[in-house]
Amino acid sequence: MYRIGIIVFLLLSSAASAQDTLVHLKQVDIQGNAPQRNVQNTLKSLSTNHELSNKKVGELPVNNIAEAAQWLPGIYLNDYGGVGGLKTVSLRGLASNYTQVVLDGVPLSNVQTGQVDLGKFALNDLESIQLNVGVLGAELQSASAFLRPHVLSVNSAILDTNLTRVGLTSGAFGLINPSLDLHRSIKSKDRLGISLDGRKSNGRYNYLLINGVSEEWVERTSAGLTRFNSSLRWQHDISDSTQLSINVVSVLNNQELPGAVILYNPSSGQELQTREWIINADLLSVHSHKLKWKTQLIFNHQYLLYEDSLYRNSLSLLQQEYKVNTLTGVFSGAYYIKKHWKIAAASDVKVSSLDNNTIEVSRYEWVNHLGLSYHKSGLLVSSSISSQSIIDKQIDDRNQNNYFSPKLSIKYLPFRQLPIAVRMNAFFSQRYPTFQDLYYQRVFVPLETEKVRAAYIGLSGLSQSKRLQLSWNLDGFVNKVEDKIISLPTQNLFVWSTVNLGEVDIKGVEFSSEIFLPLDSLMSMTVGGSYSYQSAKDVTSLSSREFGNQIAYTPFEIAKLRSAITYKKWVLGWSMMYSGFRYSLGENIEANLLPSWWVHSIMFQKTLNWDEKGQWKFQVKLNNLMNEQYAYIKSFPMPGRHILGSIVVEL
Amino acid sequence: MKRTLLYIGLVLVLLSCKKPEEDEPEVIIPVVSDTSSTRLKGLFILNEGTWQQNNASLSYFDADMGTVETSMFENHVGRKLGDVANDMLISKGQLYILINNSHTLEKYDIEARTSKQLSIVDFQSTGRSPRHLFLGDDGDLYISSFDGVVSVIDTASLVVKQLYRVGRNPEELVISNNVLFVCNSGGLDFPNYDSTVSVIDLSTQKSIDTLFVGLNVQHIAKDNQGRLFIGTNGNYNDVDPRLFVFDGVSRKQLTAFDYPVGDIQIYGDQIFIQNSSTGAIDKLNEQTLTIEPNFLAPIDVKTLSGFKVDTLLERVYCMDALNYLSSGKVFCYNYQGEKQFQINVGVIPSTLIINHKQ
Repeated sequence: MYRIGIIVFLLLSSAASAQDTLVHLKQVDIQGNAPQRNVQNTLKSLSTNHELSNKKVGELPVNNIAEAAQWLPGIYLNDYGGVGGLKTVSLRGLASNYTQVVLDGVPLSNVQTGQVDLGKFALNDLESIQLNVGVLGAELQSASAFLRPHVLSVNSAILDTNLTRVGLTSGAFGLINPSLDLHRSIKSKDRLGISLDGRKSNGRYNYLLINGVSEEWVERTSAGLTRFNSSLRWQHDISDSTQLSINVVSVLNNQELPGAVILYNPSSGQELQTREWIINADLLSVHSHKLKWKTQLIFNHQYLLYEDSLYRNSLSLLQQEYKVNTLTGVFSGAYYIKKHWKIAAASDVKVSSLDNNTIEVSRYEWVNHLGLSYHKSGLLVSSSISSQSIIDKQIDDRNQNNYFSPKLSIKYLPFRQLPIAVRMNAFFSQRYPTFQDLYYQRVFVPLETEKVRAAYIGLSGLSQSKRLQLSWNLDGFVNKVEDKIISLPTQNLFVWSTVNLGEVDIKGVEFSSEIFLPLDSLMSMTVGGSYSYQSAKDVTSLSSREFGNQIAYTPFEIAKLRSAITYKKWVLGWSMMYSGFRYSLGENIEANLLPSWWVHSIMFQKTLNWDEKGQWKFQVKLNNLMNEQYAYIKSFPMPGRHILGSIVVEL
Repeated sequence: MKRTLLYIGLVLVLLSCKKPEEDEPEVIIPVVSDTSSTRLKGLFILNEGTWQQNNASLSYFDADMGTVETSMFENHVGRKLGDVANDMLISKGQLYILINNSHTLEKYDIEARTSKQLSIVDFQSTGRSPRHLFLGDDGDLYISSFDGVVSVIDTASLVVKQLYRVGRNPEELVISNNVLFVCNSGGLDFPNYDSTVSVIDLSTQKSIDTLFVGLNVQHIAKDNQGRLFIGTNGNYNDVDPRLFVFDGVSRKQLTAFDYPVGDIQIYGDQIFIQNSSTGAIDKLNEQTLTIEPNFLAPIDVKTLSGFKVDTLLERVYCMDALNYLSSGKVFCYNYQGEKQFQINVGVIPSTLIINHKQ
């Protein structure tokens, strides 16, 4: 019976339930000194659909957040290849704009393109990556984090013990990647975390160029990269119930862009320089067992300089510079009413400015979120509504837009004795056009929001014994995209038009499972895997060639399998990722077909401890073992077989 | 529990058996028989393809068989054309094909079905971004390229004989009375377009004049009276596209008016112009130099990406790029505007060559 109780508790982990959180808040009061850590940890475990821990990420053939995130069920990467290639995630047939990325409580945004390049974030000092699909995320988040149906949270390690970690990764692509993490507790009230990651790489690798009947091995060049990631986190306990946190994250990046592989034209003169700063300060207050709130101030600076020295204008140089500054003020709170009800609310006020060679736009945003949840024994019902009001100001123009996005989530345990939960989610989400959609036309065209209606239904199960721990999820999903914002070429190569044209019908199933086998006292094994099938049909126009065809870059099938065997201080890991065939354009003909691929990778790890805390960790990753020649994006080949080694010292 | 998992497994196995669907050819309406002694043998259609997809292609329509070979070049030569095919012309059994983003010229031998490639690059081996072709009376090929250069190519040896510096981002070009006229668009300097036509005397190999027309000069054609018809695109904002007529010898402007030129084709004394705003093919009266609209309004065509008039058989071929991303179509009309047949071709058909047989 006790076991069933735990299972019920875990299965209900969709949104924080009033009862459980109240129990937890007592612990906060007793411990006193670290309210946020504990509150957030509990919220995390209560609200996550899928999670990859730091340990599991370490066993995978990945070297940045994007590559790690793609091992979560259903996530499909759009990867332009190589160390510096743009990497964005898509899920359940919906583009990256529908997955909100939250980095340590800060919703990342890109008002310019709407796409957040996850490849630029390093993996050191990671605690976990979590994915919430359609359900309500953790409470005390900014309202912007609730706007999108899918939330990918990247959480840094908890600063509860002192730690010094120095690492070095090197190998293929001429990569040299040193890293340093420091965690310090200063007196009893302050905690400090510093994390640095530097990368230098020539980005070179060989790929097979197929042109008609001829095949030729060609080196991918003009792909050099220098990147420096740093983060500083400081947490200060003002009182037993109030905590101040300040995070500063920066990514400084200089890289060459190899561009698409163009037949008979190997030259490339594109370079990209990006600078990003995120400064976040928040004040968390746990007032009583019933009320808690958080105020947050976020400043985000993004600078991008793109240069093409082979551009045939009169300067022989194309130079595009963007500066985006965003200042966001957030107030969020949660209140428990009686035993079974909880209200959560958040409000963001956001000011963004975009400045580039040709345009200057200011955007004023007001985002609100109101959530209500009910929890009683085997039932959890959560509903929420988000609103976004946007005013754009470009010289004299002001465009005002308001819209609402409601969500509903139900979780139910139909059988007291059987550890199976039924889940249901429905949402209506709207995407406001990005700066690029709106202001990069030679003629300004007003655009509507893009709309998504979705219904997800699923089952979750758990099975636990001394010999086996098994969890599984089976999901079916139906999405409908309307007024899809698409950029279409016109007769003139330099004039594109962006229009609200496009309807997509998405249907699919997804299965994922996680197995842990404690084989004996020295040896254990974990296996995790997922399979997704998605049909995403273009149903825009009956007379078009694309009607009823699978939309571009959306495979029907995605499968992932990862496993690791741990024996004493040794770990042997094997992973496999499969992407079914897909098309590079909306017309499903052979000329646009991108073949399916399998990529296998293995890793070895050995840990040597010299005292209780101090350890050496040696790791070798042999990625793309079978030297599969593949591409996510047509004309952007991925690396073949390559090896990376790393040494990490922890004190 | 075990049974549930088994069912799930079975469903997954069944789902994973789906294979890509085969591309089914669209049925072609058969060609109506020609009464004259001249008959249509076939059509060569150059398809631009989508930027960065390396899917430029050459399609061939065999009028006798009623079939289309959609990737003729790749099928016979064994390699692809490249990325973004901009222009093509035929001379002495050879097709000359210009591939913009691959920076190449292909000389495709129609009989032998082989091709020779010339890279159109500058002295640093960087592609010049070639745009348009013109065949001189001397048999040489003139190629305008976006780096502001016209290259003169010996067609037999595929050797660059001469280079002329012209204006910014040149587009179409013609030779009239041994004088080369080149449209300069300045398109890559948006919004600071060029508005000139470079004039080079080929006998002295010197620039002798510059014609000032409107913003963004794109199209040029000459008629049998030596007049030049020049189309400008404007700035897509407050400057409208215009059509200019010049005397080719005195280089004096004869007339000019607002008109969105998509393409100009002149056969003898007949001047056909594609109206890029209405999508119709208009005629320009060669006496009055006024527009006679709607010579042909191709109702089946969604996005007219080019046309060709067969004055011998009195037919008009209209190329349809649809949404510029999917496989295009070619429609054949008679002068009365009745559809004769339609065929499926590659992505963005834009250049067409008619092959007759006597």
